[in-house]
Amino acid sequence: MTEWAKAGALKPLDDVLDVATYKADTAPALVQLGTVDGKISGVFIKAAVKGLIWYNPANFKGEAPATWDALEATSPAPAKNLWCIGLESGAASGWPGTDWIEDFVLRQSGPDVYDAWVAGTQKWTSPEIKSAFEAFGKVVGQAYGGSNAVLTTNFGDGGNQLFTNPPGCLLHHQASFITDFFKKQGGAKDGQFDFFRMPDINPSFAGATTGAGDLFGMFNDTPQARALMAYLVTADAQKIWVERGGALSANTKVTDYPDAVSKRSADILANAGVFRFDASDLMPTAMNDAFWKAILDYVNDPNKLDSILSNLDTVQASAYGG
Amino acid sequence: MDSRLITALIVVIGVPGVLLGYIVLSERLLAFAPDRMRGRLRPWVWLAPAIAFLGVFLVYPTLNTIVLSFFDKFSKKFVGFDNYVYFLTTNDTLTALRNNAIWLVLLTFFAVGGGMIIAILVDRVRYESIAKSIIFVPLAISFVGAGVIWKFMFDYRPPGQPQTGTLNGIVTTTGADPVPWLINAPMNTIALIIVAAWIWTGFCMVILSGALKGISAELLEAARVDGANELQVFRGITFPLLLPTIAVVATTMIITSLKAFDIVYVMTNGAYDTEVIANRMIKELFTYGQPGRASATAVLLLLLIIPVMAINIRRFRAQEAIR
Repeated sequence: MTEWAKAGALKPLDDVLDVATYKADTAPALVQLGTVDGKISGVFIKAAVKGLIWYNPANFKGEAPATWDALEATSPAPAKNLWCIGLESGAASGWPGTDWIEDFVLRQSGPDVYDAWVAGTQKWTSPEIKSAFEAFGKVVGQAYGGSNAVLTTNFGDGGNQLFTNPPGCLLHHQASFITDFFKKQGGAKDGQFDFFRMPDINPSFAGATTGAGDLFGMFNDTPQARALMAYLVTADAQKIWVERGGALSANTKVTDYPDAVSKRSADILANAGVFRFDASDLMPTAMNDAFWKAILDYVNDPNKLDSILSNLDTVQASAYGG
Repeated sequence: MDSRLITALIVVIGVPGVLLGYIVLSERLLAFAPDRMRGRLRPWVWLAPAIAFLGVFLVYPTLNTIVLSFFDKFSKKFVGFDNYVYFLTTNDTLTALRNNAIWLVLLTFFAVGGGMIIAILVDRVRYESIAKSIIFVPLAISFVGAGVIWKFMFDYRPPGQPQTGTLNGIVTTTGADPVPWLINAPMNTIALIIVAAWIWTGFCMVILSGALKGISAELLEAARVDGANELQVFRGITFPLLLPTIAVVATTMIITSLKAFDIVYVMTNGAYDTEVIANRMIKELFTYGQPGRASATAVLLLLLIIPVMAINIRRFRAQEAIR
């Protein structure tokens, strides 16, 4: 979006929307993310909170661990493996892994490193990013079915093993939209899944949360497009998706979430201490694409980490800038 | 009246009308030309629309691609051979180049070899047309469709879970662990090539079978009367006579493997070292926004294909000369 807005292809929306109402009704973090050079260039139709850890209350009865270390030390019983991960997603395979890395970077090294990383000034080979990859590697080591299953399982099926008997795994890391898949792919019913926020790692960055969203922008300034944009930001429009389940509204006036899970993730979105947008989605497409692929290569062969990261540095050097 | 109906009328009546008008008008104009010139001018006048179409839709884009390959990602700044240097020094593109070489050798071998074996085997059986139809059917399936079908065939589930993939279903009945076909290199590239071979073998078979039917029965009978066994007949008569057709089919397969794209895009999108040049080209242009690099990739692909085309044309000419 930033690339298009800077190139002038995306038309600013400041005189299209009722800016005062828009700013009052929309989660502040999302208003800021849709703004380029002081102009509103994109509006969020729906959003998701990432870095949520899902479990089946029938199998995981403990309290949400306060720290990452405590979580990692959790016994996977009654399942054999602690984690379920599914990275397959057609041509976009690998993206669920980028969410993991993002959560690790934000929680281990904080928003400043995260922002620099998004902006392309933080080297992939730097210790901060490398340690995020290594933390993810440890998670994959405790994952159901080993790396082959992780690579071939579709992200939508990723959590299915939470609901089998005996369960394949105890925990699944995914954004709030996944509840839709739990029900449709995993055959789960309401009440069979719940979540806690991924615990903090470095206490100085407590409360940090990542998220994502679907953005609308205007390429052609026509009366029809203006009317659509103005409608899309209203509570009436955003309610439609929310009521279907699995989506959070950018508009804080929307409160009629169909279930408690959606309602709680909406609270996390509205009150995040540090909220950062999905890093890979903010990177230039070439970088994003290489990031996805790097995840797959790393899971496939963790010993290649150094060469994978230096390859990402090469892409970084050419993907950013003029 | 519905505007679509008007458009349809314009197309159905207008297009032939314009063509007819063009011919009549050009003949009128030619009448003004001196008698001697007329014969020389006429073919060019008749060819002009076709040449114009080729120029606009083939020659111009090709030349423009070559020009763009020397410019930066905004197609504004001249960067010399930078885009080509990038292609030849980047790991991912070099992997693509290597994989296309593997495709070229294996797909040509599987499709042409398989096509020939099947054509010869079914040549004298009663149910020939049924057997050939079955082999030929995959060619009617779109490549994307084939990719999706084979993705199910190659599907992998962790050991102990019911295997939904046909191949792993078979593998696990023997007690072995399921194989992640599309993940481990270099097996995954071969798995993709098998999909392409599944599609193209029927094509090779039909053409080779046609050529096989063209070999005169007297020739084969004479050889057999002279005491040649079937292997000798194949080596001495059938194969040499099939050779020109094999060359045509093989060059088609070589070009097909150089252009390989759909199957790779659908099944792996180039992950796990399965990248090919054409998929890389699409990524450079549409994903990375690098028209310069994409053009350089296209030009290199063109350069690779030109010799194959040249050999094909030369062979065609030689064949015509014999006739």
